[in-house]
Amino acid sequence: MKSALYVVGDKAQHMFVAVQPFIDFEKRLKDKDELERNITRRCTSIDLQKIEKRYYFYKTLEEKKEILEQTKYEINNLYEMVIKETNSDINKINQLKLHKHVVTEELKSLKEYLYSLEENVMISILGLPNDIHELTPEEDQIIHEFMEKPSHRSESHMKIGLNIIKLVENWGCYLRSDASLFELAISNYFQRSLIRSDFIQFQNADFTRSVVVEGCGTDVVNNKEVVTIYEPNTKNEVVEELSRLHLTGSASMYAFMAYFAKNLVYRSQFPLKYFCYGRSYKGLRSNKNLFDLTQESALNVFVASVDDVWVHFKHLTDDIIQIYNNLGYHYRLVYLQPSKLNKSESLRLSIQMFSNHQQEYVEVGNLSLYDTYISERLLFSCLGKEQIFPKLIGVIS
Amino acid sequence: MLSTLKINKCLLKTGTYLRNLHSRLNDFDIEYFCNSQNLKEIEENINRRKGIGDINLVYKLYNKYISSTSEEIKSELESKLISELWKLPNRTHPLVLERNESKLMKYIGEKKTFLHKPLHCQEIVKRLNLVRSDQLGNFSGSKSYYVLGEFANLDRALVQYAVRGLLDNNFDLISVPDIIPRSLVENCGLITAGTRNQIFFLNSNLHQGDMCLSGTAEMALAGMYQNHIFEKKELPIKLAAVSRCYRAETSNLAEERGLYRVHEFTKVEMFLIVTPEQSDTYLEYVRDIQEKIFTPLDLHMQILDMPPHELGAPAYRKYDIEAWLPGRGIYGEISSCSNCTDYQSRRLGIKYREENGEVKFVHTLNGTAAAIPRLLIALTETGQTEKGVIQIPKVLQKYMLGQESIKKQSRIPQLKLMKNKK
Repeated sequence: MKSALYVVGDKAQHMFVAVQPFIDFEKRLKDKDELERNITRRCTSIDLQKIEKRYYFYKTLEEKKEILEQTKYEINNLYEMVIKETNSDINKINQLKLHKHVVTEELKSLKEYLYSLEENVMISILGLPNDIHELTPEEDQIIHEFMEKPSHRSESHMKIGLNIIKLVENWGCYLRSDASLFELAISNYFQRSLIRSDFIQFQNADFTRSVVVEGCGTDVVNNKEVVTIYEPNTKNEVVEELSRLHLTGSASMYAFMAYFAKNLVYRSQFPLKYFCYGRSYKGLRSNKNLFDLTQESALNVFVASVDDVWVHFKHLTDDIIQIYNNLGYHYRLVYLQPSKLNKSESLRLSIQMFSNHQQEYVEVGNLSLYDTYISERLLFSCLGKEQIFPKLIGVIS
Repeated sequence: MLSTLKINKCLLKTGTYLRNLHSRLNDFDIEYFCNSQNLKEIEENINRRKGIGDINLVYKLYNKYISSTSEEIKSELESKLISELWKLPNRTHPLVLERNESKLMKYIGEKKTFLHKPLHCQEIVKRLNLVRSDQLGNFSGSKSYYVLGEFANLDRALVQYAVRGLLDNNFDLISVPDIIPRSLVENCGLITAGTRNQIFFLNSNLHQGDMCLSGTAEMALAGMYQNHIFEKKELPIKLAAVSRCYRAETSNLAEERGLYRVHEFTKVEMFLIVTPEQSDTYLEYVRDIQEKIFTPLDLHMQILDMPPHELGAPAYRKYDIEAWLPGRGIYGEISSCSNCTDYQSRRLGIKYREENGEVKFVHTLNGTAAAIPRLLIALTETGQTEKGVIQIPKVLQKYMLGQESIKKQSRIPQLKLMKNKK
């Protein structure tokens, strides 16, 4: 079990720990039944009982550690006092010395054990999915449709676009003439629409470190689905494995979270409504058609709110409807069932268009509600007396 | 009936014929590089360009290769010879060869005068909250940066403006991949061996295929046509691409701090495929297009004809366009264009067929239509006003919903880094 997000013990000696995620497992256990249902509805195989048992065992040992530390402190004080006395009792000194030694040794071995236990427990807790939003349906639910679903069957886009899509071996997909002009035009259209809706443009970094990727809910250690860069001069094996550099793309939640991770923002500045047009990179794909590409041009919207995030989710849904209606093609908006959500998503509105060739709907974008799941993991919080984590929404289009 | 000896001889001949037919050796200009009369000239060219490659070794290997009768040894020598030929730089334009420094071709625009002491771009973007580049190393890698708000709008406006300029000149816009094979990078003339190079590689334990990140769209554009034969009437091919460029190089020079030398940036690139007769003319054509794009941006610029040691391995001739950066008080490169003649086409197998059926190697050229961070620096330092805002050139305003200047981005919060808990 390895994590780039939760690093303790000897591993922490070998690398800089950028973030220590906020974890409140007991709060989640308050509604344990709901969490159990969540796990079942998402069709994941997490053994909550086991995690809970281990967690309380860890807590017991933590308490024991604290008692030992307190005991050690008091013995030390006593020892200092005794040796300062002029007529100190040598037997008493030796007894205290022995006591000190026993406590120190016990504390040392307990700490060593605790590190691996803590790592195991906390990584398991971080593996738990986000809460499921009340609007997430048991089965996919269409909430909006525009125009009629086309009834005819067509050739595949690769055949139709023979002269405007060029594939080179298994690595290169090129868009030519009208296809690349379309890419440019549609990005300009989305960009203009968002600026008019008062969103602020960012040009993000394309690289992210492992901690951010895992913080956003994507398993990153040795995951081939995330593009990982070779770094020749890494300090040691721990850094090499747990603090890698990834090419995730500027138009991604990762890029926005790399910006806000471990940062505080004044409450008065919320809501934050940003977007970035750029690249989105996945692991190396087949690149045989436009549905399976390593690289895509994408537009990512990022919203952070400390108040009612649902208002923003609704506004964004309206914006999406407005933007897509103007394109004049059939599409539908669907709330996805729990088994189709990512670990970090609480609710996902899938923007789907119909493939006349495949005779099925294909997701062309989505609107995801993360609530405080990601901001807690990456310590993006609101500056104030209390620690408030902003609720986040991400849109990919 | 043929004797065994005759059959063996026959097979040997056929093998040699087939190898010659398909050998990559034929892709190099053997007649020139392996001719003893040219050795001095080639050696001088390598020295003047401060390039790598050993022409005497090439000549030695070639002689061994042609005199060898053993198939096995011949094949081994051939690989060595190709590897040595590959290292040699391109030839150099005769007008440039003797020069030790760049030649000023012309100035464009006037140096702007300021009533105040013009500030360095870094200072302006910090004051106006236009770029964040601090405290990002642990989250998005070293030297990363984020362009914010209206400055990001200017970034996009530059892309749209440059692309418009190229489309108006009948360039074909191509959307290119950013992750490409190492071999393509090498065939475009970049050395990828060693740790101190400009290329980001993918982690080979996790990703197959020896892939790396493209440093410029020129590589992907060239790769699109590798092993392709054009008909002469199809040329010239004029391609344009907007891509994200990744470069592993870093700099600790004070004048290159901030956005000047970064690991990732957006660039609008031109790539042309022409006949050998056309390439000199098309270099001037590319330069002319660059002038047309940059002149309305109200920058003061100089165009330089670069000396041999500044050409890199692939270029036969190269022009640099440098903009005056008032905050720094220096000229900084914002663009360049190169004629690579047949250097890349020979390595990538890009050819054309003459009307008489003869197949020859094409010539390739490349030029930058907009390297965004450098242009942002030049526009910021030139467009700064005493009031502390940045004026946007008129030609870009229509891509920014009519906006005329950039002010402080107060809607983007100043961040406060959380302290580590003990």
